[in-house]
Amino acid sequence: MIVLHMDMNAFFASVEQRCNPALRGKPIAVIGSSKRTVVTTASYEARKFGVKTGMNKWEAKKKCPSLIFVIGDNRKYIDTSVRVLNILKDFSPKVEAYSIDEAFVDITGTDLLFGPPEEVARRIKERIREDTGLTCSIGIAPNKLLAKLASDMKKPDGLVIIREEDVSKLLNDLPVGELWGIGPRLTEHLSGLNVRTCGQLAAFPASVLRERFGIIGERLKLMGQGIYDSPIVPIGEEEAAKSVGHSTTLPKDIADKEVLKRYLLKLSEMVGARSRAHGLKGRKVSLTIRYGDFFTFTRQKGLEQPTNDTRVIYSLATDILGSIRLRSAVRLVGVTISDIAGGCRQLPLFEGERKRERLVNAVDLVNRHFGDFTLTWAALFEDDDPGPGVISPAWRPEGVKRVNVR
Amino acid sequence: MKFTIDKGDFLKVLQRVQGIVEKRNTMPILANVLLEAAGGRVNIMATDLEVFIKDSSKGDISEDGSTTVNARKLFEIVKELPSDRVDLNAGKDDKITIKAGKARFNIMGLPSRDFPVFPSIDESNLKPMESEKFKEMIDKTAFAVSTDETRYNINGFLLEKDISKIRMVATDGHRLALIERPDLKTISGEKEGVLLPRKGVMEIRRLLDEKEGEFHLGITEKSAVMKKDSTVISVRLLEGEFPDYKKVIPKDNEKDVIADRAELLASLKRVSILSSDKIKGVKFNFSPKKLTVSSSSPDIGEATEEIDIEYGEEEIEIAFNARYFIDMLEATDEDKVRISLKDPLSPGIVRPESSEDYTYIIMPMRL
Repeated sequence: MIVLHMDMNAFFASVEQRCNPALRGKPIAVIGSSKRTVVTTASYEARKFGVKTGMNKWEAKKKCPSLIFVIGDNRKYIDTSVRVLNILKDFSPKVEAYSIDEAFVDITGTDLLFGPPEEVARRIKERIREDTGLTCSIGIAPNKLLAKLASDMKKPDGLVIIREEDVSKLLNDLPVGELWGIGPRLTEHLSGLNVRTCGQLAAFPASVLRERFGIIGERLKLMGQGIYDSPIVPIGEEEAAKSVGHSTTLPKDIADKEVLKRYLLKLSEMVGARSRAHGLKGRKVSLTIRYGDFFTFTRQKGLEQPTNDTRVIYSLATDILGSIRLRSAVRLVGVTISDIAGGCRQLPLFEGERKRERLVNAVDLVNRHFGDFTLTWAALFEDDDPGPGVISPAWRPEGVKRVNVR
Repeated sequence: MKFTIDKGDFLKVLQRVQGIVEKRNTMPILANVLLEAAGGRVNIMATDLEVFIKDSSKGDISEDGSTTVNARKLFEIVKELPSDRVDLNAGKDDKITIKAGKARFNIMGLPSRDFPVFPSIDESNLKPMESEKFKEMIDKTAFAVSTDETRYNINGFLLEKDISKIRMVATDGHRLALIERPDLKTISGEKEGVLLPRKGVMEIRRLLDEKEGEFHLGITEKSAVMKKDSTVISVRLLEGEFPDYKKVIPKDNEKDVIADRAELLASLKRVSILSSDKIKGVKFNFSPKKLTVSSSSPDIGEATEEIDIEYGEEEIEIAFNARYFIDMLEATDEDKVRISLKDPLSPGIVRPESSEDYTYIIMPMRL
């Protein structure tokens, strides 16, 4: 397989600079509209001063006094993103929109039409520049993990190719934190096992990783070896979802089950709303827990009748949580429904339930119109952080997106 | 404690209590049975804290006492023992020795003082009940009981007493089964309607299969007690409110269909093979004298079958979960059933053709 990963450079900031010539060549930072917003993207000019994603306005201004703040406009980004994706679709039918500014393209077997991979990449970059005035970095490799690594190796406007035969040499001394999906905290925990490079990770006994990290253990070892078998899921083909799930890394590790329950409610509502929007119901509810030390596991519970009702999903998720003896504080929680049944429309017998169905439908309708969580559970209301008001990285152009814990 | 007991007798009581023993080991002692030797009898007890069962068997007691021991292991050991006589000896430290012929087992028990106490039973409260009648009521409703743990208020049977009738109702929120039988020998008890948990009722049902004739049943504030010979089962009543079943029994279903039970059952079983999904959605098209049942699965294909019926109203098309129909048709013994409908989105009623005391209500699926 030949995978191409395309990453738009400083996407939001670049789009703003394209739209407003007065911003070109200047240090700018795209921010959200709320009071306590942070920097979502900084232009390359601003990055030179040390302005980074996640900084608050004050910190950013201190780093770069001439910084110009621009409030993000999601519609512009979505429009540009769709144009870029359409360009990619001209080169291969298998385009996976990974986020608003990143995509994977399966270019296996396209050489007869477009020439060797380098040539495909060059053409894509050219088309994107012509059509949108933006630059991107492209990585090409035998799988998604390595393609993503390759595109990260040269920014902006890069083109890096990793060939099968170079993989082990390249990875041997590469710090694990460079790999997609291994963040600073996990890097820290790995270094606790004396694993600092991908080479060391690749050579580490799988059984120990499994014991230490739970279900993600074996995958970590494979990642160290540069093996990654996740397929490219083309846009529009995600519909055959086998599960619908959401997970979130908590702002800080939490051991209090009552506090965790609020996150479960929020995740259950996200799962419920999305599955309702797509007419999907699941017969299994699973809860994923990741401890502060990255040990990750999933427990599930079955249902007699498939559901997409937030209340039922939440009730099962909290049941599972109740049955777990937490051995330490939790870093991430995830709620998923699976064993999906489409087209099941068994009507409830009791009026109370029918009323509830109508109520949930009405709430969904309001939220579809005015935005998610416009009308929601009172228990979620004390959540005083409405979020940065910025488009989710999980954004997809269409279809039900399957979100899995990585 | 020390006793000698007939292997067959011991095995019978051990087997009877196995079903109650808690399988999830939340409390280790619940995986055990309580053994008690006193007054020339060996008493055995097991519980999962919802259902309590006790039984007893005669035995030669040489030393009174009690202990608890893993139910599964004890049962397996006794089953495989080589001789007809079993010697069991438990020391003060709950070390248990089982001997039979030349075989010898040593196992560790747990102290009997840690075992939950069997709820006290007021014998005067127990009234006789016909085994066959009670079994029939269970069998004709049990399939409708919800097994969805999140809906604990319908995880059992509603048992109600009227002036001259007893009534049992079960539902899973999509269908409801209701049966009434004349109450010949009044079950007593203060409460008018009680919720019996599924597991407890199925244990009672199992015991009734083993022993025919009359048994005794009593309802108290917290539990239902059934007694048959030496066996006593106490079931903790479910707390919670059973939905108002009277409200969902349709009053204006005027489209009446009479169908042959066995024929309808057989064709639904055939046609539902090709309904998509695990939910067996089947389309019913009722037209004068003819019912067409059909199913389709986009990935596999479709099936259709015609059945002769008695029906004279306008055509109506309605979808049901075939499983729901099959469950009821299998539990019914009459030759013909009467299906009463209103429209494709309202609940349908299925009853034996000639009686009103067994009512089954099914909510359709949206077409």
